[in-house]
Amino acid sequence: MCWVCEKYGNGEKWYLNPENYARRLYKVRKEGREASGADADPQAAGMGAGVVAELVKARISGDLKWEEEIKRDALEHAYQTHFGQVVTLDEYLQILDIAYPLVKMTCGCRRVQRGMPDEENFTCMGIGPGMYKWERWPETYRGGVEFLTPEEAKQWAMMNHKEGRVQTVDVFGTPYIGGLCQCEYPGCVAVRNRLDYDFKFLLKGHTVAKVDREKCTGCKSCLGRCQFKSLNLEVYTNKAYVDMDQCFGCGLCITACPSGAIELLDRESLPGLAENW
Amino acid sequence: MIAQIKINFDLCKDPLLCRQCLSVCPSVVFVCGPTKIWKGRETDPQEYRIFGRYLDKCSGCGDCVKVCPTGAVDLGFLPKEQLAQRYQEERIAQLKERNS
Amino acid sequence: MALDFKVLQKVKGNPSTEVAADRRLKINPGQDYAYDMPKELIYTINHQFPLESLFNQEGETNEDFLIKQGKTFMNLLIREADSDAFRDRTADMIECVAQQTGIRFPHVFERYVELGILNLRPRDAWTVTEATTKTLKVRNFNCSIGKMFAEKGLDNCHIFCQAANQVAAEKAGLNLKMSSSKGLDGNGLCEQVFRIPQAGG
Repeated sequence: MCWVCEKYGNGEKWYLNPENYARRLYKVRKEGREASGADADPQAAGMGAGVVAELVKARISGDLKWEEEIKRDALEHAYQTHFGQVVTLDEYLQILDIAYPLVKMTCGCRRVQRGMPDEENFTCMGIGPGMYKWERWPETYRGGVEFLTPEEAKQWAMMNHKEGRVQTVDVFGTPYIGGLCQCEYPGCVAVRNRLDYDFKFLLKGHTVAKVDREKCTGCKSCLGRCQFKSLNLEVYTNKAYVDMDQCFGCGLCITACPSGAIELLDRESLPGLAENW
Repeated sequence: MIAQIKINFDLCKDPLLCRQCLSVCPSVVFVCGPTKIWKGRETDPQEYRIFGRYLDKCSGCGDCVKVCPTGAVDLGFLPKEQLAQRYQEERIAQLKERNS
Repeated sequence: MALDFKVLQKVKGNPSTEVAADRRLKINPGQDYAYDMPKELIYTINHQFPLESLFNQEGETNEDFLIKQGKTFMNLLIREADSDAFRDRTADMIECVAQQTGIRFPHVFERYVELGILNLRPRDAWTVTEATTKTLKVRNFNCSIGKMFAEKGLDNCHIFCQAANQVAAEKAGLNLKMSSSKGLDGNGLCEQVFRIPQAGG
């Protein structure tokens, strides 16, 4: 179990605990009108990206202590408010039965990093009762929303997995999970910052992929599925190679393998990786 | 060398819909965010601004300059040592202020 | 893995495409909605149904009386909460989603339960601990009604709540199994559980 499970799992994985998706619909209305036309910092756009400009400066300066300090302070805040973790497709489908409502929305990361047009960008999912108030934040839900049934959401989740997106849970006020993301490198700010700057805003999942070298035929079907730079072809033996130390456990390589040569292991069953989140 | 990207916002008027530099960049160096958040409506695409964010990842290929229809992208370079020194000085000033 | 290579091969479609015709909702430019519950609703309800209504003139509560009062309260609440004066955008969106998906549980029902709590005992601490399309759990801490009953040596307050929630379920068009458990060790905890009856169970 990761530290989030220990704190919020109630004996199981924290993101399979229904309590972390439940929240009141109503509160008593506050006096005063909501502000209109508030200024925003365009450079802070994207998940957990407020500190990235600082991080890039520290990286260029070569001051490791500075970089560590930025990350430590940012993570201390992030773990109390807003962070993510990779989940497998199976877990994702289970989540779609314990969270409601389920709402297709556009991906903010790909909008700010690639300028993806809204109509091609419905690859994110907002979940939970807060979504009934989506019109409160028109820019967050740019392009509109689509409320789905759990069965529709499962079909959609499988399309995303098939296309090759990593699936993650996202916290909005720990431990409340308000988003399910379909991520990739480098379009997803969280994946990018984790890989390029070791900024642990996104945690690795509870599983790790392992190649069965006898079953692997070297067909290369899995190549291109990994968004974490953890999978390549060992050319001299013609076998797929997973860097287990770097694997986030999303399982995308597994569903691309026609020979069942990659298995997903429990991270905690591997003493060398059990603490590697 | 480290890239220094300056966008002329007088020329770059519709960044989100244009998105040529965002789309062409082989290193995803740019970020395009809203300058205003409105109640009751989406931000106009014209209220977005583009910046170079991941400057340490820029290869300097210059495709963003070539592709910009208004000539708004200015791509320059500074020696890494020079920039490192500048940021180290910023850091020293930051620590000094914190301890005062 | 329930999902493997063969299962994924059969999956088709572009996730960005609209899941069904006319399902995508767009922002209405210039809208200025209210989403939370107005205080005025509390005053209105309290004026017509003060907490003291839970006891008859002799200060006693038998089952029939509590059921009657539970029904009276929830009918009043629904009438006021859904009136032009107090209906909010959250309610509209919950109904719109229910129409689109055909799923009315938990939120069409939950809305009345929550407004019931907020209006009858606005200062109480309570939370929703599970809200799926099959189960809804509401946890109450030191419920004001429970305390009032306890002070009079009574512990049948759940009859009132269940009668009120039954009206809410009927209004939402739902047949629900309801139960409630008050903390036996006097810790002031009362958990209400609502379930959609499972087929064959």
